[in-house]
Amino acid sequence: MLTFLQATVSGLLIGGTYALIALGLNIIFGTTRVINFAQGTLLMAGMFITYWLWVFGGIHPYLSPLFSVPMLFGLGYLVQNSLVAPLFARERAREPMSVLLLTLGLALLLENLALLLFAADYKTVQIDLGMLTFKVTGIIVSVPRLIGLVAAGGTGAALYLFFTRTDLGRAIRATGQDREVARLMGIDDSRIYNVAFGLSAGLMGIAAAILVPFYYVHPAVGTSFLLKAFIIVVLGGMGSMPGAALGGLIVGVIEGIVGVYVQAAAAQIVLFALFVTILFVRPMGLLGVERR
Amino acid sequence: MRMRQIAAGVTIGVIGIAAGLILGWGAGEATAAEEIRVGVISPMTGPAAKFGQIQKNTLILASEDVNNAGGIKSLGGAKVRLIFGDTRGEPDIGVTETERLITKEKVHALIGAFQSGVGFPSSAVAERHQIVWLNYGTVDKITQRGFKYLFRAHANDTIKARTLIEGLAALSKRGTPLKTAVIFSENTEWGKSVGDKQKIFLEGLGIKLHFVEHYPYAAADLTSMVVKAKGLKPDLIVANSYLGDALLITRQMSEQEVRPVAYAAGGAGHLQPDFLKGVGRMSEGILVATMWEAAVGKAVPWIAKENERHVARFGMPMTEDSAGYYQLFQILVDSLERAKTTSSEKLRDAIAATNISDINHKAMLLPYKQLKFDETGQNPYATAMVVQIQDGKFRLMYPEHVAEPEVKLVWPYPQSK
Repeated sequence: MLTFLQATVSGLLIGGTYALIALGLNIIFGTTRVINFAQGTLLMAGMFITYWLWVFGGIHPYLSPLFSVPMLFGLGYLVQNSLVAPLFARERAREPMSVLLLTLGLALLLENLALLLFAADYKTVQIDLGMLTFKVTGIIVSVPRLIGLVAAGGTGAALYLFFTRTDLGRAIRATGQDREVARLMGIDDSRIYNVAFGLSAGLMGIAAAILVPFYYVHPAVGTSFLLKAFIIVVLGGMGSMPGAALGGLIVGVIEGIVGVYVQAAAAQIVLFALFVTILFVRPMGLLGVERR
Repeated sequence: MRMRQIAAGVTIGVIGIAAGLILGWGAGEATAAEEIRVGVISPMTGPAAKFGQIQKNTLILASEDVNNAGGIKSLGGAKVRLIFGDTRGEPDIGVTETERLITKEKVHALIGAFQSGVGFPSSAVAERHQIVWLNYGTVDKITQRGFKYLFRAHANDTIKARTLIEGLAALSKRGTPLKTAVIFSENTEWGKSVGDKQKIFLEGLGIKLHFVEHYPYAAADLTSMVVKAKGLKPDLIVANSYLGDALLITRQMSEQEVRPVAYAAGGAGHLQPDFLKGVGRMSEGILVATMWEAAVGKAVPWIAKENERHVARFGMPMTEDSAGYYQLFQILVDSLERAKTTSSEKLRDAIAATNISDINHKAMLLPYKQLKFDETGQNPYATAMVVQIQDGKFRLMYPEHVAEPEVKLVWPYPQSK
């Protein structure tokens, strides 16, 4: 029983971080219909920013979003504005293949750039907090992971308020629902796209701050998280924010429990089986809304 | 993965590839005529890039030495040129890169591919083209396919696994004995092979093995596997991991307060300097199987000198795998001198006829009683050893005749923070 609870708790703890990354993917997809293969690489970029801030500035990883979020937001905004938007303009279709390839290319570019600049070293931030744990009735809770879960929850809640209570947030949702109508209502859709991409990239700064205290930093670090994020997005619902949150926690818990009672590799099989099943049975995902 | 490459070409990836080229080809020094082209297949990017980059450094050192000393003398002083092929750690890319080096770059011989999962299919390409493949990678069955052009100078997984398990058994006689065990093994070719071999030797010694788990390579999280082991309270935990996984497992064992009597590792990730940096004091007392360690230089002075040059130039010692690449390169140089031609078949025959027992020969960087190849291309005299991490350094513990006498064994695993 203790093992079961430990597996569940550990799964929930990492699930929050998974959810945050999936949320980033979902914001771009929900707004622009683009599947951003560079999401994992943006996370990697955020982790390097966090790492270097700690090495050279002595800035605690948890304070790094103050710098990394605006930087990544700017990067995302620029990518959408000067790379994706021209492609969108050239191809009339809403989901052009070339944009998907562009994000793949961008992912490769950033990863190789990171390799060139920072080498293939596995970098780790050594802070006492990174290994801190406490026990609740025998269950071991990792403090940095718990902070991660809380921060992910807080970020999710803040985003929810942003999307439901602010003009900009509502404009982003409106554009995601119907670009033409949104434009007729006077929304500057290309600016909205830029903001959505920037927002999604900025989120990776927060995910990076959560991960760096207990994870390693490496140019290829984004890949394994990106794969998880795809599963979560499909599971929770493409474009659905609560779906991403729920999906992240579910994936974390499945990983934890299947990993303990069967094995870690089996957890991957279960997750991908779920991925395929959901696509067939409920393509809009658990909390997704069917689109026209 | 092929999709990704195409995508790069189609879009802005041109720059990305350029960056990759700079990384992969930095060493290539073209000389017009009379050059020996040696293809090096390694992971220069991707999760295992760290390994590939050290391998590249060590080979640059070795090839510069050969060229500065007048090249291959029997071939009129022909210079050696290294041409690197980046596998990204992916088997399919390893195969295409091998194909490219053979057909486009017209290499005379290949060294590779570090990860056995990549080397296994890539070496088949070399065999098909009848180009010599000097193999680094320990999976046994690489040399069990009846290939004519493939050679391995170092230990295979059977030798490494036997050395580790017998070493653990011998060392445990000095402290708490080992009765139960679990094995964490990554799920590519190497992890599967070495994990299964360790299982055989553990069971042979009557140690109860709870499970061998082949976890996903470069996983995002491995807590569940560690929690599972915790419930079983094994005396021995063996991990066969590349770098990222080794870091995760060690940290999560500490977090989850999993304290085996002995924490051992099959090699690779646990031997990397970045591992020591990443886990700090938690590394104290970990026992690792390896085929090379700088401490062998204590008995063989030229090896110590060679390693010091490496440290002076690259800021770090040679590693097990980079030393293995160095050895293969020296075997190639030695064979080229004897073959007096770059003809593939003659070169192959010269390598097959290798017979070195002089400990001061450069091909003896991994020192064995003898260096020659059996009919499968394996060196039957290859050995391995067990080192223990103490104060962030690797100390030679086993076999006894090579062990550093002044070093005390740390037992049980203290799990310091």
